[in-house]
Amino acid sequence: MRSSRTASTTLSWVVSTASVALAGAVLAVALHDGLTWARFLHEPIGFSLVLVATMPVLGAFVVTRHSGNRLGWVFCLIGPLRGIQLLADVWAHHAYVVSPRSWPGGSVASLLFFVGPVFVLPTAPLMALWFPDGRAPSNRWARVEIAPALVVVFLVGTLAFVWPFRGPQLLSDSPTLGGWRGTLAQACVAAAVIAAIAGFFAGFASLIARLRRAEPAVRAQVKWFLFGIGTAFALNVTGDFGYTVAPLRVVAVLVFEVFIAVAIERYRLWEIDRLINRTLVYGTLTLIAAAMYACAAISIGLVVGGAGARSGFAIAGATLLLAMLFAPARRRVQLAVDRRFDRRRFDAVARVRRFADRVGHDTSDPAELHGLLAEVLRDPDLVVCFATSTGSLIDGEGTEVERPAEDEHRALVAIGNAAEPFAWVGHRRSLYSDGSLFVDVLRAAHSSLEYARLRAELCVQLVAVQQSRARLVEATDAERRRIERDLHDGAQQRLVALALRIRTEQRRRTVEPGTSVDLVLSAAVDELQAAVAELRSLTQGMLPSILTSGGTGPALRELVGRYDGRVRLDGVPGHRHSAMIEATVWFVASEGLANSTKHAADARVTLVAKCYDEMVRVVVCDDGPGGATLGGTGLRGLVDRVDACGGRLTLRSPVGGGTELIAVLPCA
Amino acid sequence: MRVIVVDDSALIREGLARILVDDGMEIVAALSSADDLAVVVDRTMPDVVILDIRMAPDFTDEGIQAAHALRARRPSPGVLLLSQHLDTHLAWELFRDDRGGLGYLLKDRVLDIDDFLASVRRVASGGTALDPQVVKQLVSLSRPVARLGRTLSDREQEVLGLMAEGLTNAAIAERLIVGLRTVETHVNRVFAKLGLPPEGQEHRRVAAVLAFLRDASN
Repeated sequence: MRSSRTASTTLSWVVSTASVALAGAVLAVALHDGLTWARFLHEPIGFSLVLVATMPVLGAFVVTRHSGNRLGWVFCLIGPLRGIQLLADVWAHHAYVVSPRSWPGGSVASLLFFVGPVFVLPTAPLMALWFPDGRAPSNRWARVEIAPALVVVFLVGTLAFVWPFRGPQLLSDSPTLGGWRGTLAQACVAAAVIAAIAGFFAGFASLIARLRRAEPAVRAQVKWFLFGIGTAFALNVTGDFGYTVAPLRVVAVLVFEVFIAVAIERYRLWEIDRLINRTLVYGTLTLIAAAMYACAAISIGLVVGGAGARSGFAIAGATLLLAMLFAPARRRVQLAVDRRFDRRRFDAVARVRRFADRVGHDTSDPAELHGLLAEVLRDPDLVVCFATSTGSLIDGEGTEVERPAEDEHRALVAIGNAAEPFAWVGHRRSLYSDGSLFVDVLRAAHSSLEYARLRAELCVQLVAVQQSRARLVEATDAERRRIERDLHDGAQQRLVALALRIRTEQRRRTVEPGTSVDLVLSAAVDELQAAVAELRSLTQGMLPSILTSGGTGPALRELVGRYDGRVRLDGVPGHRHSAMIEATVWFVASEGLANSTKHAADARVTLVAKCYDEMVRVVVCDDGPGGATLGGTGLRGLVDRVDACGGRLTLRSPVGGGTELIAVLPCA
Repeated sequence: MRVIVVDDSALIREGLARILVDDGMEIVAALSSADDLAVVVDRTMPDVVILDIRMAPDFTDEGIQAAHALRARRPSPGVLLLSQHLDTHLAWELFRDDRGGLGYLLKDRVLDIDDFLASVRRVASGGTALDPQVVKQLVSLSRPVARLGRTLSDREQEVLGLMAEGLTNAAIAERLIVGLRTVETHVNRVFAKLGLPPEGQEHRRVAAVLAFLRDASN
């Protein structure tokens, strides 16, 4: 396997070397017989030599890189086949015209010159049929291979029948070949040409079939190939127009080869669709512009008076008109070409543009961009993530995400400037073969992506602010608990101990009962007791220990108990929550009850705290006079605290319609 | 009488010890935490253990845990809980047990030394001692879950609370400024609602409070 591969590679390079040598020989003979640079550029020998010298190299290159791709051999063989005819041409020319009888082999050369054009004929159908992988698209298409085989058969026939006529007479433009042999020879040539043309059209049809059915990568390759054929054809036709443009035919050969090379090797490197698109647009534009220019120049010339002296006006006016119309015309043609030739890309880009417009008018959510892109690019696993200033990656909602994985199916593309992209799009690799769809959609989505990133970063900052607020509240709560504990373990204990000490001494009758000192001591104990009671009620409003140890249920019952039956408790949460939520529930209840019992002294007050799936709802309501507002410092602070927990505090208090304080808090 | 005092404040421990010793009781141990309580109780066999509720290390319900451990012993010493706070919900489970020998007083109640000493003796001899404020809170905590039809009226609860404080019917009448007969009616109605026979007197009265609490918590 390995050795056969090396052998075929070697052979292909031998063939191409031979072909280059052949071209060298032709050039040598032609130069000897007076070929000039001008003739080289303007006559067929120029581009033919370039073809002979370069095409086999391209072929050998393909054989080396893609062993088993028979297309390489086709390219390889074009060189020597065409080269033989060229050599025959210059040889016969020298042998019969320049210096008759000076060189031998003139008769064979004349024969090869006559038959030569048929040599390359089998290659054309094969090129079209086998492109780009060296195989026909299917077994049915493989039947087209009969055409080149027939060409070879007719070629052999031609050689056989034309043999007796060899000599100078074959060199004329239309040699007269008499007799049945001559007729058969000419018939064979005609048959070969017909077979080749039929084969070429069939091969071309197979290319179109490939373009329709093949996978995207092959489609791109075929497009490159067709575009190369078209460009080379256009250059060639232009080159036929006259002497000055004739060198374009040399360019056509090189362009054709370059396009084949790109089609086989580097079709992913450039966007063929964009290239075709632009060519179509600017080609059409050039035609329109030329027509408009001509019409304008002529009509302005007629109006102004047609005199040669005034033609300056005509030219200037036509140019001005053209300049004015160019931009709108370009847009129109571009749209028409897009719509006609690349509907999917056109629609996708249009949708993304519409979205961008709507984002600008704030009627759509930038976070929906991800879904839109996934849809128009037909990649349900599409990932869009944004770079933050801290270097982490976030999604459209501001949640931190991992960098999307890259493997043989998924790829990652950076949006924004290369050094510091602001967004990343993780996509299926096969998107690259959908022509310029991906690139154009991303281009259209650029501003929306930037907008979405700003939004996402804002979300992150908002979350950060919320978290810091929550931390502040938690810190305050912790501080309250610490103070409560310090008071309990420190001051209160000491006061009680001190009172106890005095009482003990009184009891031991260290001081005479009934004396003024004894009375003062009794008064001191009473004061100490009052101080202890005061501290106790102070710490109770702070964050009762019952909340930490027992949760909202016992804490709320205890709270309601303080109001001596004035408050009805209609339910408490059945389970524990985070310390922050429990503290907030308690503060809402505590503040609400304090307000209701203060401002609606005779009203019935009800406290309800219930836990639903993902939230706790605390309601304090009374049937008092109403008219309360959230303006007071107590309620103001409460609103902030509930906000910090991610909840909402509302107050409904119409004058004369009772008061309802409702807090809804999230709980996991 | 043998007493163990457990309190994390040295000042309170000393103060209590002084009162109790003055009254002729014997302090067999004074501890700053409940950690080694079981061992000490085994060794000293006290009649009553006076326990602070909030102690090191966490300052939550260490005393309650210790009380549960003590109550699980046979025979168990009397347990008198002292608290700076009304942490009654923590003591809830303790009161569901209808054995005596249990008390719960607020710490500053100690300053009425005679009452306090009487409470200690009562608990040591298998009786009960409840702080009026504790009773009030226990009752208020239990009220929302008390069963319909059995629910006591506000006035009946008030009377129940005063009974739990150890007040006689006459004292209750004086406190509420109502006639003695009214109080007796209330008391009998409370007994009836809690399913207790009307006669039997003092011990029944605290039992009524406890029965009510047990009923409410079921």
